[in-house]
Amino acid sequence: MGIEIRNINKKFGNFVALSDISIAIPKGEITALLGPSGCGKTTLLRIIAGLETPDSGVIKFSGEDQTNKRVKDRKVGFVFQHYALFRHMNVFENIAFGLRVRPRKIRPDRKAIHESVMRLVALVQLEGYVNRFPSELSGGQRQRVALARALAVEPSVLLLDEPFGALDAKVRKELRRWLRRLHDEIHVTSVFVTHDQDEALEVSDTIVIVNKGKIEQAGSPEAVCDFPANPFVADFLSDINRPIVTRKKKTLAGVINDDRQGI
Amino acid sequence: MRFPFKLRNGKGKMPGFGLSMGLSLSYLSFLILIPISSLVVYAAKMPLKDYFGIILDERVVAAFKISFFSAIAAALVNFVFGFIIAWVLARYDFVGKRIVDACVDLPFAVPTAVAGISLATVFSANGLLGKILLPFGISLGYSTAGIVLALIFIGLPFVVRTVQPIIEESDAALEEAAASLGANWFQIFVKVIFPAVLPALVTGATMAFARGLGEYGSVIFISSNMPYVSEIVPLLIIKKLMQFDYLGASAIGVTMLIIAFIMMFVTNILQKYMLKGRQS
Repeated sequence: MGIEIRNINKKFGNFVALSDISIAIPKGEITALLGPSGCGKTTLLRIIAGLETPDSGVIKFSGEDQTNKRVKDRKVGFVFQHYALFRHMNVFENIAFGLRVRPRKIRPDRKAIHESVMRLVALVQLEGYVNRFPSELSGGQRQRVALARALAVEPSVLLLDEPFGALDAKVRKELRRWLRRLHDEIHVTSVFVTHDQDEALEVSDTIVIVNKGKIEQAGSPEAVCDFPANPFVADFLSDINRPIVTRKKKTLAGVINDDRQGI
Repeated sequence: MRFPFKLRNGKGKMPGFGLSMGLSLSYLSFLILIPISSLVVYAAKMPLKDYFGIILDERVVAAFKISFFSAIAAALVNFVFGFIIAWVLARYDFVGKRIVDACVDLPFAVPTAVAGISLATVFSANGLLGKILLPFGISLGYSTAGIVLALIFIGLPFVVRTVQPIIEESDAALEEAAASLGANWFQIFVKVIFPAVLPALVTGATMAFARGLGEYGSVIFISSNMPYVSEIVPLLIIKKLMQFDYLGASAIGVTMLIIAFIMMFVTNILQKYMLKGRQS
């Protein structure tokens, strides 16, 4: 099992952000946390990362309890909504950060760091940009740097907070297809937060629909579209472009088959 | 005719450039450029030989050294403690925070002479704090070290007020990102927070330095004002004026101006280099 979330509760003052959330997130897949803004999905993601502490409940990665571990010890890769790149470092240094801050005993040497960074740079297709500063990159490029930086620490879990939210429509579409393909190469257990139904349907293997701090439904894109569990899910998914989704299983090459059919 | 100034890319599309630029230039001319260039023009009346004779005088050189070294020392102390105070004010909530916050501005408001006299009294051998420091062999009242003390007092708000907003506005996600990548708090501070604050810190310290270089009121009350030991340049200028040696005073004034300008210019360049690729 990838990530196990059990009986998580979280309040901010009197506001109940999450109420008794339990869900299992499958290993090696992409899971979308989908819901309207303010529904608690980002809070849940931050609790998984360890950036927020739940009032009660348990978080496990591959059966190992993480609840009382701090974010720095959880080995999560977190991609922030606005990327949170270090502005005084160039692309190379940004990506290398996670390796450079390791305790001396397990810190790779110069050459090894250089190799892993260059491998990641190739993975996110930013060859030739290593000496640029974040301010010299486009939104999509920054996003990919943020992703490479998160992957550099070889995280057991990759968490993405509204990863495409700050991009314009065209780049967003390209990038989410690219992310899907990338994931099919690296197979790291991934969770991303989104309020965009299309995005969730296109990118994820499993969709978890969250509303008012509760899980309304969880299942494959086909399942939640074809058999919405309640009026909220039906209503929330009703305004997507093509409500019926039939997606082939991923091929070995990892190509996403864009063969959704409209009604 | 087109205005011979380039607009910055993407900015400066607002109308009224001609008017605002004109106002800025005339304002700066009236306040700074004309008065200061008249000083230069006045000093230019004397032959170069006389000029170097005045500024290479042993006593003048000593005063320059004292002024610069104490201003630099004070700026460095403020660099450290100004940062700590700004950090505390920006990052923590505590009882009486508003009062502490207001205290920081006092050196701006208090007449410098009052500041100098208070510092001198408190830190003199029988003063409240001087008494405590005396057994350790530290004597700040009426000494060269006293100059630095006065300049620290005067310069503190420059550093705090430049750095504080930068710390307040720094994005919490940056620290979270660093933590998620495995950095401990010390690494986060050294590699993420401090580099982000450094340019502002340098700006603040430079302003404190510049202010300290020209400071007169507070220093003359706490310093022993002994030639070669604790006589600062502004005091020397006043002394020359009192002896109706206007040319001598202007020569020293111009020299100070040139050195200060060069130092400011260099820091500005440094600043630009530090900020490379950081806009956004």
